[in-house]
Amino acid sequence: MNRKLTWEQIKTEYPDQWVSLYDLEMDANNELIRAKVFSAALELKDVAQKSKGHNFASHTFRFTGEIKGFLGFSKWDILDVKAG
Amino acid sequence: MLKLDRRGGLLFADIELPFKNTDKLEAPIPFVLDTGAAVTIVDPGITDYLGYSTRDAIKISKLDGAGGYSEGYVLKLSKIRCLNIEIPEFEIACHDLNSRLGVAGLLGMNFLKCLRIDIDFETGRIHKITQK
Repeated sequence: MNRKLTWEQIKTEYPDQWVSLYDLEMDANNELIRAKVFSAALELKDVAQKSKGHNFASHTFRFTGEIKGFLGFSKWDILDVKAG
Repeated sequence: MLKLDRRGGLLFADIELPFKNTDKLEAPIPFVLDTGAAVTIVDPGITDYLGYSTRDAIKISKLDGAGGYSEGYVLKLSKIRCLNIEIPEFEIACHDLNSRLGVAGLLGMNFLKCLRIDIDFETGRIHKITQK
């Protein structure tokens, strides 16, 4: 996983997964061009946990699969946290 | 010109969030631009990675809507940066987001209400953006 890959190569080698990417190369529009893959997993929490504590100079998380649709939340209630 | 990423019929904006107790920002992570979300929602996998936990929560958060019902917690971050706009002292709600759908977070109305923005929804291009 030390190779620097293009975003297209990453999507091909790690399909439908969350990837933890470091040593990022972005273009002028801030789009990802190349990166090294630190870890990959089906669940975001798993790939995030593996990356925790590492002091990357540049790092991000990306999903390599297709977005299958998502429905948001319109109603938000908050409660103050009670001490103790 | 700023551009939103169009995927799966949704628009994604890159968001930068701070690590706990530092000024260092995580490199941009794509969040869904969601006018149907009252608040900016972040999957706890991201906030855990940044060093936050439930012990940093300032409020309990309850979400309801077409996406279902969810309970989580609110964190107050030192800042948030997105679309070249930085907002200090910003509250986010942490909720599990079924990450297999490919979404790590929602950029909700508590951020979007701070903007005056002109978006071409077909191309994702932002023709004009200012902070209110």
